Amino acid sequence: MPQTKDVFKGWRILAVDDEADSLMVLELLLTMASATVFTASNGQEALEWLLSNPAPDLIITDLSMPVMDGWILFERLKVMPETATLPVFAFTAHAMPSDRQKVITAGFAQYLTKPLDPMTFVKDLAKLIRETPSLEGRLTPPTSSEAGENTTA
Amino acid sequence: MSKPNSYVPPPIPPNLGVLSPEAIRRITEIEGPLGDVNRLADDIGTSISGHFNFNVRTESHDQTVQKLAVMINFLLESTRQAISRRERAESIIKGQAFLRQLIDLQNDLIYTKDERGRFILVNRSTAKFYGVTPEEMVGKRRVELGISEVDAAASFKKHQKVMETKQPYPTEEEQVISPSGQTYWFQTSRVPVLDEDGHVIQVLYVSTDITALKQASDEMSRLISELQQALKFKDQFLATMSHELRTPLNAIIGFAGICLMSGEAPPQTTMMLERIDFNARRLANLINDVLDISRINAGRVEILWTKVDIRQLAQTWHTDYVQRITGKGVQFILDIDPALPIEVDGDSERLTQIANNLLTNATKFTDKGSVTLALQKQGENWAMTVKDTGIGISETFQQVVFEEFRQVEAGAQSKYGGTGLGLAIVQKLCILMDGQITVSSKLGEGSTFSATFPLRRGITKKE
Repeated sequence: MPQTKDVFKGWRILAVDDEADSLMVLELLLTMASATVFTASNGQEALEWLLSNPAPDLIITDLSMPVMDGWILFERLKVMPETATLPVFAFTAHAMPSDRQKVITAGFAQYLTKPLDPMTFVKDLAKLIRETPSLEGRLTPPTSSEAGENTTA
Repeated sequence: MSKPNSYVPPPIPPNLGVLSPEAIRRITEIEGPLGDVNRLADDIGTSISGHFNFNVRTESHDQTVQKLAVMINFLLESTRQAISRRERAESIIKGQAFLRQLIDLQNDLIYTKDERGRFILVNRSTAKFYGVTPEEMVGKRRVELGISEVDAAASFKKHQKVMETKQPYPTEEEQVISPSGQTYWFQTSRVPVLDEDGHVIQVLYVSTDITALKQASDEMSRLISELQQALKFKDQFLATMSHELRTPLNAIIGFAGICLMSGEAPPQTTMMLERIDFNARRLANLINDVLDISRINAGRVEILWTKVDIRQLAQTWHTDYVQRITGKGVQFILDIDPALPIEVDGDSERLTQIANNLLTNATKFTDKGSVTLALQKQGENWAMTVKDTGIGISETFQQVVFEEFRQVEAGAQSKYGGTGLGLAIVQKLCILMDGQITVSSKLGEGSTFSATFPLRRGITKKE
């Protein structure tokens, strides 16, 4: 098992998903990597949280959700100056090849698919963060234990 | 009719006794025209046909005889002309009857119409379409035969166009409702019929019944559109199914993994969690493979041809698998032919998919010995070979190993997992990249899978 305990130490991450189970899995895994995790169960809740809290380091959002889906949430974030530059990763069960294209074209910083692999999730996420230009230098270089396997979720 | 010949008089019979030369001259003169007339009378008495090809001589001292001869010649000429006209008419009638027969034999509707759109000449197929005899049609317009005003008017416009332009109207497909109410499709040509002065006197129509063809093509279009609809539905279904299966799998794999990582579960529970994790991953792989194979089968997987640094790619594969393989106590050998060019044509993502499948299989079925990943130059081709010293594949199974949903005997399935689609996908991807894949194996000794691709795209393969 990779040593990922402190990978996200000091990170504040907002996780958005209407599936309580998905949200809990995310919360548990990120917390195990020392992140502070906030959760919202749809886009509307996420917006409300964002308006009344200091900006998080990262938003990970599901796409298909009731009330306000991930696409609209993303659009709203882009038009508000205080949230326009926040890095938003899509985390979705829409995993057809055309879906990736749609997500990246829409402007999401990264695209993660369900099911995630809990064994490698933290490492995979860290890798994506390092590959995201707007998050450059925010994460320490990978430790030797993180190198090696390369599995996508 | 040939030019009339001069009549040759019969010789004077010798037994006329002694006549004065003057008498003989006069007799001869009279004998000339009158003899001819006599001959003519014989001809008329027997048969008239073909015997008027001479004229009566007009040389005579007798003015009455002379006049008579001239008159008879005049009558003869008139008769000849009359016969000639009649013969011409007969031959025209014969010719027309032949043409009539010819057009009546045609399945096409062949007819002519005058400037006002009235039928003149009509073949049997045309009359049959209107449910009348050809004779009944002559002089009638289409509306009078049960064609709707609208259809008739549309057709008459084209008719007038031919009359005006003196040019054939472009052949086109037309829908016509027959007097009996049936819908027909005709391919119709309209050609002007000109008189000697170049005036359009009629329009000649030839209409081919293409109803059956049209129905078949309509049926075809309908089927194609239904098929496209079904394919679209299938795509939507697959996308939805994929999404709906991934969501619960995310929870199952997620929680099982977190429990395992926490290391707090008792051994028995840990073992069960591992089985949950293993089987849930199998299900996740199955979804990916089913989507892959359905996309490949539908021809929707495209190869993105680029220059591929195959050595570097192989190093990446080695890195990805070295832990998994050596972790089982199996040696992982990377063998790269120095003769390989720096770059080959291919799709690195698809090549990686092929390598992943082959290496996963080799890893799965090999518990001792080695797994070798070899890259070799083979003439104009290059080969990616994965060789293992695992359980091997029976000869029977080698025959079907690239077919969909084929797996080693059921008992092994629960031990090794897998979807039975991996090698089917690999083979299809190889073919898409102008390559091929072969297997050789011996039970208990190991298997070798070799995928061969052209070094340069478009180069014909050599075995």
